[in-house]
Amino acid sequence: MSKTNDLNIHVHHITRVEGHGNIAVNTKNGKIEQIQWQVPEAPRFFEAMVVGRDYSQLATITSRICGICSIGHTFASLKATEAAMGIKISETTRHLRELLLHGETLQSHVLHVCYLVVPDLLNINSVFPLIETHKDVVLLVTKLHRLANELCDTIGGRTTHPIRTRVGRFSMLPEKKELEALKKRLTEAVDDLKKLADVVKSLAPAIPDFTRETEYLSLTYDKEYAFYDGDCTTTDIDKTIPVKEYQRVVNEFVVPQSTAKYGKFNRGSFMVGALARYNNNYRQLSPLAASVAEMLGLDGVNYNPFMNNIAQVAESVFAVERALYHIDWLLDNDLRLEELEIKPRAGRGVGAVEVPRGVLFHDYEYDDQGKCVKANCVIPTNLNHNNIQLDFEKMVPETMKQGKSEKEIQFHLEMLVRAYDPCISCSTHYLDVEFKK
Amino acid sequence: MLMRRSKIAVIGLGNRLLADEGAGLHAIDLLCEKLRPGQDLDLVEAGTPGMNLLHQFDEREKIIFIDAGNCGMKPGEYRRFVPGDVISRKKSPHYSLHEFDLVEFLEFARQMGMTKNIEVVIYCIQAAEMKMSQQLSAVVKKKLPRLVEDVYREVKEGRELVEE
Repeated sequence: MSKTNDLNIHVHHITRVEGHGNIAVNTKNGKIEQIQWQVPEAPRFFEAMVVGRDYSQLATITSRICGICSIGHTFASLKATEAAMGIKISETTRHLRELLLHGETLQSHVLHVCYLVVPDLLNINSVFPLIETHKDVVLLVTKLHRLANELCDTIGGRTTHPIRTRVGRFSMLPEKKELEALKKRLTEAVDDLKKLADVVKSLAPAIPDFTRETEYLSLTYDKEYAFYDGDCTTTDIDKTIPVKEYQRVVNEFVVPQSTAKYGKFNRGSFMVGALARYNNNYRQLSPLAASVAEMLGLDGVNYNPFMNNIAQVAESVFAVERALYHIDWLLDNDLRLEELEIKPRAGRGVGAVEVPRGVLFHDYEYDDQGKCVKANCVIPTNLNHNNIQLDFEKMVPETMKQGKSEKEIQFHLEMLVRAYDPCISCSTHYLDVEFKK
Repeated sequence: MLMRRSKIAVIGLGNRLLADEGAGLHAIDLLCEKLRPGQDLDLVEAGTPGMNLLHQFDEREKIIFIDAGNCGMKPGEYRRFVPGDVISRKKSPHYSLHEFDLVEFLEFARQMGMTKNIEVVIYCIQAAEMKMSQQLSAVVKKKLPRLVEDVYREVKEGRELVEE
């Protein structure tokens, strides 16, 4: 049994996640009274905010749902609008969008693994103590992070909340010399990512040995490892479900302890994110990304949620390789700004993309003037809450049986939440100082 | 690097949705109104950048940060200082990457060697109101142009900048 039979864990706002989530665990005489993952964030009403807005404004507004996945939200939104109005995009626009999406994936994964997860693997409370022990790694991460940000600047017009991405087209194109400069730096980044993978490998023994088989939900696409295109699939079904039928898959519902909606499909819960993508599509990873995954212990379907972070490392390599592929295509083709005459029409459209934290859906209905009459956005972090809850319910009794202390159990629960890379909201930062003299 | 950079940057910090919290960004607005675009000076509306701010040090000789804060002065008063002049009272629990303490962050950058040979200056204006509002308080709105004048004089020293 545990070193203590009476657990009283109340983490009010877990650290190193984006937004606010609480952990509440109570046991008495070894009997579990409460195990809860709670999300107390206030609803943000984006779906109501866009009603009555013109189709051309929706991507700009909904990209503000997230400061990390703003590019993914932009594309889910544009795809939904384009589906509703029957707009097809050109090959150039598709390559630019995929390039931009890979930039966001690289930015988010590097940031999460290195600044938020590595401290867990070293049992320190933040990235700051790493200056003493891993200064070269922090410098490497800063370099990769900056490259990913500048990729997004170059293609999207700014790092977050892109301004060149419009319905059906781009409003401004990168210059050839900018693409060539990006190519050079991304090529160098492959070696940097290999170094990073070696660092993660050295820390991998600290990844908890915890498994719970669940359903893994992601997009899948016959032509490549799905990020931009694809239909829905899960590890529990042997077919695909069209994106427009996403509600049949996500089945959102509410629970008393959370302001966020939960989801489930064929089991009590499902997981989305890098590990879900990997579990559904790992055979389509590039050879280098697959070898990095294998080196770090991912060699096929994996049921350890902590391995989500390993999948993120492999996907970072994949993102750089695919970004180089798209840059080569853009350099080999004559890029021209496209003019597009859009005649708004009434209809409904669903757009889905894989963002760093999992599959994201936007669903819009428009009137014949192109004004939004209904919107629904299904956010991947929400889709994972139910899975975190069920992981907690398995992990607490298991860790108690292993004889772990309350402090150790709390650390494992917090680390588990961070492994999912949840992105719950945003905050502030003002100076609070006193002068020495 | 991909983006062309000036050796001098003025970086505004804060959140425009929280009244005086956004004073650093309002200061950048005022500087943008004052100066003609395309000059050898980067005016950066950084907002709440977290670790992204680490990318601002490369290729710089001088960075001036403008931020609102609790600096023990009367509302609207401001002061120029360098990082070593102050001690942060913030107790940062590291909830997320959005959470941010400029003083702690600059010490992190210094220890990483990123601020070597860069003059780092901070202008802090004492906030009067930190509440949900896109408007500055009356007192900060009145005093902020004087802070901006001081910043402008400092960046103009020995250089030719063209006013609007």
